[in-house]
Amino acid sequence: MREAHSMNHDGRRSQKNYRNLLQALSRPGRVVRLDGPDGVLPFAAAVALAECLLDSEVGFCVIGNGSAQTLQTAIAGATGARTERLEAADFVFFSEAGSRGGARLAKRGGPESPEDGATLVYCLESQPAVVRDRFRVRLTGPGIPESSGIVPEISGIPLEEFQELVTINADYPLGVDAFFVRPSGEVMGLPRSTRIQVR
Amino acid sequence: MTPRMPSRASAPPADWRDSLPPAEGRYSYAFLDEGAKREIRRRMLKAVAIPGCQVPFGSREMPIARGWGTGGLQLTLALIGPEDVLKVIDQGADDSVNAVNIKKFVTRVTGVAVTTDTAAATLIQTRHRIPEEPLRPNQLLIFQVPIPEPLRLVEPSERETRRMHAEADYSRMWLYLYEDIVKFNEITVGARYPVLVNRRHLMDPSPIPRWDLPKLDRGEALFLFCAGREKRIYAVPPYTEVQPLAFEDFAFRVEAFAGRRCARCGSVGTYLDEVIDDATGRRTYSCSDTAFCEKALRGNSVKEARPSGEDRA
Repeated sequence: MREAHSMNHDGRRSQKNYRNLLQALSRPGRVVRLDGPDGVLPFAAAVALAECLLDSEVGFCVIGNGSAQTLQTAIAGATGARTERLEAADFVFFSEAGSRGGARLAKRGGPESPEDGATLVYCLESQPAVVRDRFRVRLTGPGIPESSGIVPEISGIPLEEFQELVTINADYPLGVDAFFVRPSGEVMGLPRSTRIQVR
Repeated sequence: MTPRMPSRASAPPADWRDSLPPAEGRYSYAFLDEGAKREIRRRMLKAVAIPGCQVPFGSREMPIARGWGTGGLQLTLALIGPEDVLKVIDQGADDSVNAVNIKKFVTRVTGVAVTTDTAAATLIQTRHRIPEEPLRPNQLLIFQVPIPEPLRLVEPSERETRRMHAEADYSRMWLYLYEDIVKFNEITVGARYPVLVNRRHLMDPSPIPRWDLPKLDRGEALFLFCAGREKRIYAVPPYTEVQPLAFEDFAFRVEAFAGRRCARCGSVGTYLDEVIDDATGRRTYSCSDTAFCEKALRGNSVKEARPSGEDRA
């Protein structure tokens, strides 16, 4: 009997990217790299994430400025996922570094099904204007070896967004999980179990 | 009138497997279709984000019976890629029927390399043991789980146990352990000893011996658990606090192997299986982790197994 060894290119990329996403979420604050599809810059990393997690079984929503429509079209085309209201979406993509209050409206799951909380994906700029803000943030909790905490490895996330996540995830295990992606493919995970301190 | 004997079914040819059409083309890479993999992958991420919380998923029919590792197998197949090196163990042994069959199946549908060496593996699927050799940060340990609900000991209703988890109401489990101490002066739960993960969720660590529980606490690898029959996935990320339930005046204890060593490789400080000679009735002990035992026997530089508790002197 011959074996089924062949894996098509898209399947291979999804498998590899998924392992990196798993790594990112199990080691919060650390950066891993995704391999994005061609032709969807500057949202290659966001589309790569969507490719390996989204399909017609889930709903997504894109929030942001003028480029939000481009991102929405790219994700819908690549995955076949349906668009959904922000309050009901399983995946919420922000086409910029801040959610402008949108994250607060994302679903957080119920007491008996906290896993129904949404996954947020923030699309960061390639060259953030402010890079030192991250040193005012400390992350502790599962996946972080240092008990004193670590500084997030990715820069360009507004401090207000960290504050927002602290508020949203205050009723742990209810809450949301976040990925921050850069056009270059860098991605950082921040699960709801991570304790965030902003100084 | 002579009864007619039913005609004998024709025996399958000796090489009947060769007469099957090739697996390639009939199945996706790693058996599961991409939609099934995506669903399992989404649920796994949620399980990692909420350590110890049971996340439901749509468990698929697999070519092995439920209860024989279909949960662990589905996680393995959703994760595996061509560059992986797979190790499968069953109660510590690489060569048991369950482990060998799972390995054969995964190899057939993926072509990945398999190993018995814990250090060389990137994915380890296990039934009821954690390898003695310390795991590295980039390794994934996938547990086959028969009963994912730790509260099933005290509560038969699924609806009620979900409420208890939602409210972190674990008083009945504490009472169960307390009554055990009152009756027997010992907590009689051996394998499946309940643990508290990240100070929030009570978790069933699968039927691993108590000996292995300290390896879950702030371990470097990612631990993934899946029950195929019960359709639940849960996880313990690296560096996560995992504490067995214990009382201030009645500490948690692991199995004691005081003064005993492996009769085969001479190791001390490993989890030992008792072997009784049928003819003489003589009791000997051997390492439960066969790969560790082989390595120690070959004299490789396997370091002493990680300290697991105080009772092993």
